[in-house]
Order: sequence, then structure tokens, then C-alpha cells
Amino acid sequence: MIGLHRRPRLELMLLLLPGAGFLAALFGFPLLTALLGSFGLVGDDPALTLKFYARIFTSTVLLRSLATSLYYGVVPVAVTVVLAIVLALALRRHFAGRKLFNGLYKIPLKLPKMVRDPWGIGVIAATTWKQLPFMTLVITGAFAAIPEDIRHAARTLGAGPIRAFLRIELPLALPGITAAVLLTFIGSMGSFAIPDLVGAPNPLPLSVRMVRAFAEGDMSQVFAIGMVLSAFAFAVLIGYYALTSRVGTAKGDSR
Amino acid sequence: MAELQLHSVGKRFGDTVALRPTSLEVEKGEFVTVLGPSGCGKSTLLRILMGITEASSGEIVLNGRRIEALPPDKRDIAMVFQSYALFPHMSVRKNLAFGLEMRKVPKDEQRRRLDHALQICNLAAYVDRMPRQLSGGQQQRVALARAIVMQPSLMLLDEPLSNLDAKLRDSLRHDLVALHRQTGSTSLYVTHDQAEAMAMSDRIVVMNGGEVVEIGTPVSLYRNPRHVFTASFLGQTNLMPVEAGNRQARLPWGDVVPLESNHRGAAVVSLRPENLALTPDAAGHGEITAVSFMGAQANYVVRIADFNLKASRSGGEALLEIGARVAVSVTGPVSLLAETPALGRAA
Amino acid sequence: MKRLAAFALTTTALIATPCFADAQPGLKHASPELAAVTRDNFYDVVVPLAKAEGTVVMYNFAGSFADTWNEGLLKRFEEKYGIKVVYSDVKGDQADQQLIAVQKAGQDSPVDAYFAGGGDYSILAPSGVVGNINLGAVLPNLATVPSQFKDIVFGVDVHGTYPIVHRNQTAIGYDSAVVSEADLPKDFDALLAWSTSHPHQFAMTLPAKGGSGGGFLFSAALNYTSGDCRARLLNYSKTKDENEDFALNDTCLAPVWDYFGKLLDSAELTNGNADTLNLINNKQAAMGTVWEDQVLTFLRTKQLPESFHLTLLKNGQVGSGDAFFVPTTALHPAAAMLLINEAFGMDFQAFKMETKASRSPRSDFDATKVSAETRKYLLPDAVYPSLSVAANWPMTLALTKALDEKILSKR
Repeated sequence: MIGLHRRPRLELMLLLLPGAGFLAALFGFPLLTALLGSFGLVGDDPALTLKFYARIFTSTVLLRSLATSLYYGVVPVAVTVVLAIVLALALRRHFAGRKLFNGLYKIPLKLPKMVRDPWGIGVIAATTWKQLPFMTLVITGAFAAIPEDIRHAARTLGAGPIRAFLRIELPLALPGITAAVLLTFIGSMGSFAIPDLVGAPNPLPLSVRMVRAFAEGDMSQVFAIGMVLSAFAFAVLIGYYALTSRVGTAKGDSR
Repeated sequence: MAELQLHSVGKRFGDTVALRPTSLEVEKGEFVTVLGPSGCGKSTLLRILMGITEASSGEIVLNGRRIEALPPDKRDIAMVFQSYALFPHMSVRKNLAFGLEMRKVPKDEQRRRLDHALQICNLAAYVDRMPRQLSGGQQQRVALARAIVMQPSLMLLDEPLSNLDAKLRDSLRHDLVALHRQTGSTSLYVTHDQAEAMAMSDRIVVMNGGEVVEIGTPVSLYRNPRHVFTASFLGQTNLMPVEAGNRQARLPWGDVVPLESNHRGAAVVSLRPENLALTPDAAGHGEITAVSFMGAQANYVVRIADFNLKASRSGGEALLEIGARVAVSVTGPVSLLAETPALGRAA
Repeated sequence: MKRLAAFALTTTALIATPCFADAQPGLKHASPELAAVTRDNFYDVVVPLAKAEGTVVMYNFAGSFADTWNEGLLKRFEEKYGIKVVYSDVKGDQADQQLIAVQKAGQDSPVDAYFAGGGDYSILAPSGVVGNINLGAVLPNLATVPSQFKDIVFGVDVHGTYPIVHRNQTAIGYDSAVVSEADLPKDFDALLAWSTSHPHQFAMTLPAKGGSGGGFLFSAALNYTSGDCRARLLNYSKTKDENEDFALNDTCLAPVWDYFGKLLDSAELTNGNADTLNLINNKQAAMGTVWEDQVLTFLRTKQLPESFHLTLLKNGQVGSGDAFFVPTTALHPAAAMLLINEAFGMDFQAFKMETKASRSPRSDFDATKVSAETRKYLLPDAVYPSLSVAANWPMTLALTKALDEKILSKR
């Protein structure tokens, strides 16, 4: 083993092997298979083809599915983030929080037919309900990280509660909120169970189509759809880093 | 009429009394310090004045207006926080302009006030920097400037120097005093540092245990404290039990000193170390038990009649040694002390 | 970077190498004796071999059938032969993929007797999952099963390896408390008229999500076409691409799309077979596309009102079925064959008819033997079996995609 110390890079690679190896085996390998499969290179009759991707972007049916997936990704997250911010603020004060909860839990009992409708109200409501705890947790943390003094400073300088929130607290909590939004969006866009159960039968989101393709044994199509959903998630992440790396220099840590 | 008046302002949290009903006044342009140890109620007082804590009782009048029911943004108060509380996502300029924008000050007036504050706080070079790019001292000046531009009826300062190192603290203290003279703003300064309080204030409000103990100028509080707490908190002192009568007090080792009060019977007086003279005397009743050379001053502990007295002399004089026998005499006034606070409580 | 490229290439090569299964191999773990068994010596040969194997693993893909298998077959089989049955409910598409993967890797199958969807043959067979043993010719209880349920199943030549043990029927279900016998539509035209005058009252299962909808789609296609067009619909020998091309592009199908264009203006699309039934149960719809056997299960568990009845439209609605087969690399082939044989026995066929409205493929099965209580939940004799037509699932799939493309994607 002494020899290893003289070759730090080798030593580093060996140390990383269990963790990175695990990831490579259980995530990397299937991902690579899916990527190759989406180009038709896996299966009984492998041949490089773009037709599975072409189908997604030319078939009206699948394009609408992509649009539906985006819709089911964006709208629930937008609704959730607003609710989560309201909840996070309400949880700061005990009395207001209690009143809010009293109203909140009664809502699902009163809404009319919400499933299988063209605007996906059922999907949005159910997805929001599912995402709300996580988002609220993260956003509460984001607001809690802002020192109390800063809020007080804004108030004594003449900002009313709303302006203090909009001009000072929200911008400072924004990195945390954005992270919560993006993480949730990625899951939201690919979500299967809720759209499958309460979504409109038409148009079906890509996630449901993916399962149908699996049932028909059309694995290459499954891979292609999976790659497209992954690509979107990836694009969203890249976009996030691009945006926040610039905003990050404008915001500072207060000492 | 005083600029700021507090009438019986108190605060309780359930059964705990954080601040006993307190009355005090600050004249226009005065620099008043609220001085006391942690938990004395000064932070509560500050929060009530700011408007982020609601008083349980009492009224606050500022510039002729009753403000105790108003939210923080409607009071004409500016606060300098101990943590500076600069807005991290805004430049120095934007930080300073924020309050002016909130109060809808016209643009040209904004610029004028901004330039003025930048100049007197020496911040012109940093105007476009972000707070995290500034040193502690610079941030503190920005916090100060941000309050100054508001030209408020009352400036509140919450221990703004406590996060700085000793040297910086000293120099900024001078700056604060100079700034106050320039702006003439009515200021209420909160601190636990008695040296700071004495150096800067027109008057000091001494607080302990949720109530005001004594109010007075630094000189009067130091030389004529009326309360045990004041005497021991401001500077060093010897608390001596005496027999009083005929405008005189007999000290434990027999010396008799004049007393202003005509109190009769047992009492406690405050005897400042600098008012004790030590003369080397082989037959003296006192013995040096400790020596601290501080440079400008030399501090001694003298054992006499079962008491350990604190005494101090100029550092220029010859140093006495431990074990040396000295004669002790009183060369300045002693103050008769009361146990219970006389001031600050509602009648 | 070179190392990475080499790694990627090696991986690609490994994945891309297809595992060619031998054309028509026999059961991997069958002794020569078992492989040569005939209907005459079946019990003599198989029973001792099965007992020696001692255990058999069974998969069931139809969730609602679990209790029927266990009560009606497995308990009796265990008692009769002393062979332990290890039973699992599975999700069909996942199990299919699992078996395909196992077969390709050259490993032994985790299941010996698999009750799988009738249309899954075309998914399973190409990789050699379906064991090459002519159960139709060898199992005694399959002697009375006609050829269309064991040799050529839904148009595919399975050589008896994939016999249909359970037959079902797509139908139109309705709440007779809401729809009177007089108003009940008798054919597709009448159904369209009814739906138009009762908007959102006809629930149609989305064909992509439930066979009751797919079956309805195919039945309508058969109804509105004739001659060569209709014959093409019933042609089982075309490839997937050919079917899809026909469904999407051939103009002879225009009346079918016209029909659905109008129907979907008033009908309510649902998310699956069960969704349709739930809608009717919740009084959100009065009529819908259903499976006869699923309806019986729902009725028995009080998930449908007592007034729920069934009918078939002229000129016929699709009947289908599911199969019981032995995977090629099954570890206990003798026990599996014995179990499958038992499943085709009269006792079990009657039991499952009674409990699940599961029709029998046996031509000697007397359907009138069923209890009166069950009888009233089944399709009336007036329409069944006269109005039952054969399914063509590959074509149905193609029609489903075309429906998506031509009609649904425009809404």
C-alpha cells in the first residue's frame, strides 16, 4: 500500500471507486443503455436511427404529449410556490397560521368535478397537494435564513410589511425558492401516477405514453421519451445555473 | 417640550416583567445613552421604541405625536443595528437610498442627502460596492449613513460598536460623537459598555433588572451616584459601610470624612479609588496586596481593617510594592448610596 | 478520453449483441420422456415427474383473478397431487419484460406457469419466451378446446403453445334504472344517436388505456367497413408497420373516423376499464364500454348498482381471452403442465365462470349450468354468443394510434 501514496491519483480513484462505482453501475450503465437504445442501438435489430426522436417531435400526438408534460410540470409548481410562500410566512405567526390551516384543509371537500377535465384541475390540485410540504419546508428555511434585523431595518426605513417583503425578503430568499422550484419541476414534469389517475384521457403526458410504450414492448420508444424528459430536466438545471451564477455576484452574504 | 417622552412604558411577557413601567425624556439634539448589563431591559425598550414589540402599557410621544400604536414604518425613527443589517443584495448607494425611496423623498433631495451623508461618513469611495465587499468598520459607517439620510426625529443606536476591535471602536467612537455634533440629531444610544457611555453621552440612563436605576450626566453619575448599582457599574468604586451623623461619616478604619447628607445611622458610601491617597509609612494601617501597572494609571489593592480597598495613582508616580505598609487617607468626596432606585418608576 | 471511447464502444458491442435463441427450442428442463409425452400417456408420464419436481411457480397477471385461482384451482391441486404452488400476482408488462430479459440472458425462468394476456404472444414469442410444447395436442383437458383457442389464437399461429384458458367479452354496460329497455341502443348508429341526445352520459374507455375501449373501437371498425376493407381488418398476417400504415392512411376507414369524430363530441373519455365502471356507479354516466368479467367482479363487490345490465351491439363486439403457458426455461415443466391441464378441467372452468364470468374455451362446456344468481349478471342469451366477434389486437393497436393521431390530437 505504500506504493499508493506515491501515486495520489491512483489512490484517489480507488477511494472513489465504491461510491462512484455504485453510481456508475446502477445509474450510469442503465442511462447509457437508455441513451443508446433511444438511437435504436439496443435490442433485436440494432441500427442507428433517429426515428424514435423524430416521432416525438413530428407526431402531433407526441408533441401534444410533450406540451402536456410541460403544462403538468409548470402549472402545479407555479401554484405550489405561491401557496408555499404564503404558508411559510403564515407559519411565522401562530395565530394567522391556525386560521389558514382551518380554511386550507376544508378546500378539497368543496371543489366540484376536478378529474379528467381539459385544464387538468384535478392533476394540478393533487400534484400541488403532493409537492406543498417539501416546497414549504425549503421555502420556510429560505426565509428563516434571513436575519430578523434586516426585516426590521426595512420597516424602520419606512417600508410597510408588503414592500419590505417584496423588496427585501423575497429577493434574499430567492435562491432557496428557486432551488425548490427547479427540483420540484423536474419531478413534476415527469410525474406519472397523478396524471395517469386523474388527468384527462386526452392529451396524455409523455410519462403516461412512456408506460404505454413499455406495455407494448416498444423499448426504443421508451428510451427516446425518457431521454427527451431527461433532456428537459437537464436544460432546466443548466438554465438555473446560468441565471443564478450572475445573480449570485449581485447578492452578498451579510457579515 | 422634550423631543421624546416615554410615559410609564412597560412590557410583560405573561408573568415575566421585561420592563417595568418607565418614564424618561430626551431633549431635542441630546445624545442619551441607555446603559446596563444584559437582561436589564434596554433591548426591550429599544424594540418598543422601534415598533417591533408592542408595549404592555404606557405612551410614547415623539415630536408631539403619540406613536406607541403606529407600525415601525410610520414612526419617524431610524435605527442603527448592532449587526448593521445592511441589505446584502443592494449596493451601498441603494442601501442608503432605500429609506428615502420608501418615504417618497423627491429625487434631487435624495441626491443631496445621499451626497451629504456619504461625505460626512467618509463613504464616497465605496458608494457602488456591495456590503460583503466592505470591512466591519465600513459597514458600520454605511449603517450609520443609512440612518442619517433619513433625518429622523429620533436616532436609535443598538450597541453599534460592539462588533469591532478595540482600536477601531475607539476611533469610531470619536467619529460618532463628531457626527452627532454635525447633524444635531436626537439620539438614543444603547450599550453595556460604561466607558463608552461616559465618553459619548449628554446624559446616561442606567438600567438594571428591567427598570431605570438612575438618570444623570456622566459627571454627576460618576461623582455623585445615588444608587449602589450606579456606583459599582460606572467605573470602579469601594462600597464602604459607615456610621453617619452630623454631616459626617466614619469609615471602618476610623477616618472621618464630610458628608453632604444629614443621614443618621448605618449607611453605605461610594469611595472612588482615585480619591484614596497612599503614603508609604511603616506604621501605616494599610498593606499593599496587589499591584497593576496600566501605563497612565497604577491600580492597587490595599488591605485595611479587614477590607480590600481599590486605590489608584498616576502611573508617573513611583510604584509601590506588594507587602509595603501605607497610610490611607481620603482626598475626595464620598457619596451616600440608596439601595432602592429613586428614579424611573411611575409615581 | 481514449479510454472513455473504448469503454463506450465495448459497452455498445456487449449490449448490441443479440442473444439468438435457437429457432423452436424445446423446454430447457424437460426430460426426453416429458418432451415426448402424448395425450394418451400424459398422466402416467407427467404425474410422477411433477411430484418429483415437488413445486411449481405460477404468475397471474389479472389482479381480480387472484382469489379465483387460489380458491378454485391451487388449493385443490395441492391437495390432489401434493405439489406445492408458489403463487404471485404480477403486472403483465413488467413480467413480460422480465421474462424477455431472463430469456435473452440465457437464465432460468423465475416462473413455470404464467397466466398472461392473450395479446402478449407477439411480445413474448420473438425472444423465445414461450415454451415450444404443443399443450393443445398433449394436455387431456384441451382435447375439447377448438383450434381457434389453442392453435391459431387471435390470428397468430401459436402451435398449441399458448392456449386460451379464460375467455372474456367486451360489451356495452348500462344502468337499467336510468336507461329503459326501449331506449337501449341496439346498434352503433343508435348508440351515436343516444349519446348525442344524452351528452356526457356514454363513457368510452380510452382505447390506449383499456381493452374495453380498444375492443369497442375494433368492433365499430368492423361494423362500418365491408368487403376488402373489412377483410383487411381481420388479416392477422401483417406486420406492425403495415397495420399502422393501413390504419392511419387508408381511405376505406373514413366512415369509422367519421363515426368517432361525432361520438366523441358527446361521449366522455375515461382513463381505463375501471374508470368507466366507477363513472357509471357514481351516476356520472349511464352507459359505457365494459368487460363482462370485470363487471361481474364489480357487481359482487358492490361497486356497481344492482340495476347494471349488459348488452352487445349489432353487428358484434369483440371477444378475447388470456392464455396459460410454460416458459421455455421453466425449472418445473412437468408440474407446470400438470397445473395447466388442471386449469382446463371442468371443475375449474365451471368455478371461474360462476365467480368471474370467465367463459370457457371448451366446446363441451355447458354455460347454462351456471347458477341463476350469476346468470342474471351475464350477457343475455339473446345476444351472446351470437354477437361475439374475434379480436385482432395488433390491428386494434394500430387503430388506437390512428384514433389518437386523427381525432384525439385535434381536440
